[in-house]
Amino acid sequence: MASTETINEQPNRTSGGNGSSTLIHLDAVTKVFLTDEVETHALSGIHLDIRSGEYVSIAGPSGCGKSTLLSILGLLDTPSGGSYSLKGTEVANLSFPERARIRNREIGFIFQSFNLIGDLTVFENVELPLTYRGMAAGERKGFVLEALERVGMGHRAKHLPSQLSGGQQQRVAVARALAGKPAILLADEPTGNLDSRNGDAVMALLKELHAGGATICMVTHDTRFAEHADRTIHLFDGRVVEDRMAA
Amino acid sequence: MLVKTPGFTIIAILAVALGIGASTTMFSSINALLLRPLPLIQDQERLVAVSEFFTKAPDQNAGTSFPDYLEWKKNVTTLKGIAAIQEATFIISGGDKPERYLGGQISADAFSFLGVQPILGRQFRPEEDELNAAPVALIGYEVWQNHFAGDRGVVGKIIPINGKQVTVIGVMPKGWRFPEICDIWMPLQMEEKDHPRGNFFLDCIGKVKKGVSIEQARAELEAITTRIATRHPDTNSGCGVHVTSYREEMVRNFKTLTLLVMGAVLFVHLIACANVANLLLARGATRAKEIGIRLALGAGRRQIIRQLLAESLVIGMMGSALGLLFAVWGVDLMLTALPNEVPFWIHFDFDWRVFSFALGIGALSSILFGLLPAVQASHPHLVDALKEGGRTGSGGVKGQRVRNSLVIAEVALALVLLIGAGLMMRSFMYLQKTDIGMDPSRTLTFRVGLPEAQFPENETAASFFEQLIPKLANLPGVEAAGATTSLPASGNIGTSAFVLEGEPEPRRLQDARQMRQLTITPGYLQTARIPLLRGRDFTVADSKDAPRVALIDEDGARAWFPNQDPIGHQLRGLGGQGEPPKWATIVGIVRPVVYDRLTNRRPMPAIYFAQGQASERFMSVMVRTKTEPSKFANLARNTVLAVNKDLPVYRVLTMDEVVAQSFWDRRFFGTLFTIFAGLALFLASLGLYGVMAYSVKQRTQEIGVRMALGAQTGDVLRLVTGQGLRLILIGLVIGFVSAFFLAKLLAGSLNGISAHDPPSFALVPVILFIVGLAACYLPARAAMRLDPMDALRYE
Repeated sequence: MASTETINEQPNRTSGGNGSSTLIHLDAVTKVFLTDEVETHALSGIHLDIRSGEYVSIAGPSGCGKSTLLSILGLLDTPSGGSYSLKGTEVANLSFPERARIRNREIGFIFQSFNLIGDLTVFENVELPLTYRGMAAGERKGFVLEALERVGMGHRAKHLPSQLSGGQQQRVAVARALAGKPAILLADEPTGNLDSRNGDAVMALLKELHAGGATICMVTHDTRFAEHADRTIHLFDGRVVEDRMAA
Repeated sequence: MLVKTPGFTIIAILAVALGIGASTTMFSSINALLLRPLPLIQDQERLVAVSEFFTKAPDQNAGTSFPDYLEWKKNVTTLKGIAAIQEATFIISGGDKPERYLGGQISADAFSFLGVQPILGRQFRPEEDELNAAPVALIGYEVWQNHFAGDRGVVGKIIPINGKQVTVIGVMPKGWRFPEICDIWMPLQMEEKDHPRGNFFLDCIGKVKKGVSIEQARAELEAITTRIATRHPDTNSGCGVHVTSYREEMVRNFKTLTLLVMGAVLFVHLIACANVANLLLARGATRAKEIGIRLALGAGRRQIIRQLLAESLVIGMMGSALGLLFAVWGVDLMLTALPNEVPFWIHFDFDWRVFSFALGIGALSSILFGLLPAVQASHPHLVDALKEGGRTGSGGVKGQRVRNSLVIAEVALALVLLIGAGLMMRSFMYLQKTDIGMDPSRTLTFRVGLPEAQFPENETAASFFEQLIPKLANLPGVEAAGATTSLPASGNIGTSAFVLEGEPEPRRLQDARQMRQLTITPGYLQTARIPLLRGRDFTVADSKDAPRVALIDEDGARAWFPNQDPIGHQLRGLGGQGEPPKWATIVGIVRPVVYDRLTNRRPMPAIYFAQGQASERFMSVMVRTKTEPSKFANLARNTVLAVNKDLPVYRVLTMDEVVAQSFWDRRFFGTLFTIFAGLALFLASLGLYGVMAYSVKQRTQEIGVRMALGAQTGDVLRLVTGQGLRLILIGLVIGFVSAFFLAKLLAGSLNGISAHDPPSFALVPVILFIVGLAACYLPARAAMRLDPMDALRYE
């Protein structure tokens, strides 16, 4: 049973505070969407630190801003205000190519709908981020096979995604996220498209990866899966309303 | 459904209309040249063109000599009639100003067996063919209207034609300008002594009797011609006869090119159809849900296909209607591009054949572009289609493959057309750059004809030009003036047979030395800037009473006088039976000049005689000016009238225009080919763009994933353009190989380059590659600008 360690209303900083180095540091991050001259505040001054090796889940009701926060963390989107540093480097306002480079090297994405490319084999899908890194083919092969072995999909390297079950596809997606040895894995509802058995298997896999030292930040609306993380951050109306460590 | 998607419908109809418009434009030419009946002529399928030829050049008609024509006429039994015609210039004088018409001296019975009656007056009578018969004329409808103001009392009037008093005996129907653009006809009235055997100058037309085939008529005429050759070996040995369908003979020069351009246009139409098929395939993919629902509700696949084909048919029919409109403009444009008057029997008006073609090709195209997409769209994966809202129909791998194949085909077809256009344009450029041996710039030319009745003696004709040329040369702004029987590059020149001094007379005409013979005035060489290489030019002193002199060109000097100086040697023409031989001494050598049409060159030495010694009545006058030559036309006309008020000038053209007319057909067909190839390039690029844009749309989410994984904009650019480039390269390879084989069809229409001209084959694919790359770049740029967030959310 998880116990509440801190309940911080903003602007107090939320941090796991387990003594390891700070990987991600968000300071007063805001995100405003302008649609039809109406301002929608998706994030309203988020202060957040994530340390290396942490397993953080971001939870909250639909529309609370958790996916927006994950997109900003993953450098898919830029904040409207505040600062964001990754491994001590300010990344909030980087150019597109720089953001792409950091996404490629420091961040591994796991999507709800797997987002494997249907025309590519399992091997090629996992290889894709390494290709964009400009890594030599021989070196890539080692990384890919290692990642596939870690998720137990080494024997399916030559298959196409359409030949795999949903659970297997998500394992391949995890391998793709892992292959480049990123600083953090960002998982957006990784079990959302899976049945409970496959969902449990994927959560177990993430747990296992965390145990092996991976830093994971996962968005989920399922409290059952949120509790797999060491630390759960609850968002509501674009604010952190709860940040608690597991017992 | 078509109304609900107006953008799609308009683009599809426009693409089809462009294809049908271009096809119908060209079909109207095919119709005019090959299909439409000749106006007014009865039983025209039985008409034959008859011409003699030399076995040395079996592909070329030599014309027919008057005595041979008379023998055919007397002996032939398989023909209902055979007529001879010689085009001639007729000048009607006596009014305010003389008027020149192109006319024909024609056998008196010609119009009778052709089945054409005058609308006023009567036909020629057989006895009016006799030399001493009273001169009579039939006039054309236009002459009747313009010169006689439609006066019904014109029949019986006596008018001066070429200085002779001629009785008008009838008016021919409106539109009748037989054989091509003649307006006045007079009986042949020839005599064998004036037109001896061996002088092949007449055109003959015959009509085979009912139940007799052309082959039978040919066999009979061949037998008669062989008998003539046996009796007259000196002139007719090695002479054969061509008997061909009259229609075929009329279109001989244009049939191949017209059919080739028609082929090119059908390629354009196929590309347009491929584009519409691609649009329909993409649309089928977006309609997967709708079709899924229809199928779920119990519709059969046939019903779905029928419904989709009906929509295609609507597009096809509307495309036909709009295409017909485009074709009206297309034909107008085409006619304005024709430099010459079109023969009377060629009519580009839209008749039932053209309408049927437009509707037929519209219906056929509907099936062509509609069937495959309809079949594809009629079997979506039902569960997915209903669940996902229609992204799995023909948008899947199979649909993509079909779309890609269509684009490859478009690129290949476009390359074939572009290489064809490249070859024709290169050939055209070669012709344009051809050195014809003279300087055509700032030179005005016009034709003056001196009717025999007005100038009965050769000396009077010579003296006319002796007066005219200095007057023209002394006009302000004129550098020089001269006259020649044939203009360079005009093709208006025949061949003559010659014998050199010391040589035995050839036993057969075809064994004689052949050369181009011209009569020129002093000043012609200087005006045309034809360099005199050795010896001297003609002067006014080279008159009738002076020793006869000649100039030959360098080709003649090299061919006939190897290793010796031709100057001082003598030569004379063959023929002129009963006359004493006229030896001429060579006094100069000039640079060779091209007198043939540039598209039909038969290199042959040329010989020039002086107008004062070999007087000709019909001459082309050439005036070199200091400024724009066309501005001197009126001045020149008035100068001619000042010398003789009854002489009109005609064919007033700058020398540049004469040269351009010499290959107008190549320019005309080359331009048509290039326009259609440009259209093909545009449509193929549009098709490529459409497929790539659709592909980017289909792959939006994938691109988002790639961006999330760290793909840079350059990676996205490479991804999209790489896909397009694959299609382009495959299309280019297929097109290149096809063009390599199809180019042979153009070989006969090319000058100065081979059908496998390396620059055309090397450069054109590069151009298509660049244009194709640009077509891919636009969707690629759109992909590069995708927001990864939006792309990932894209459903």
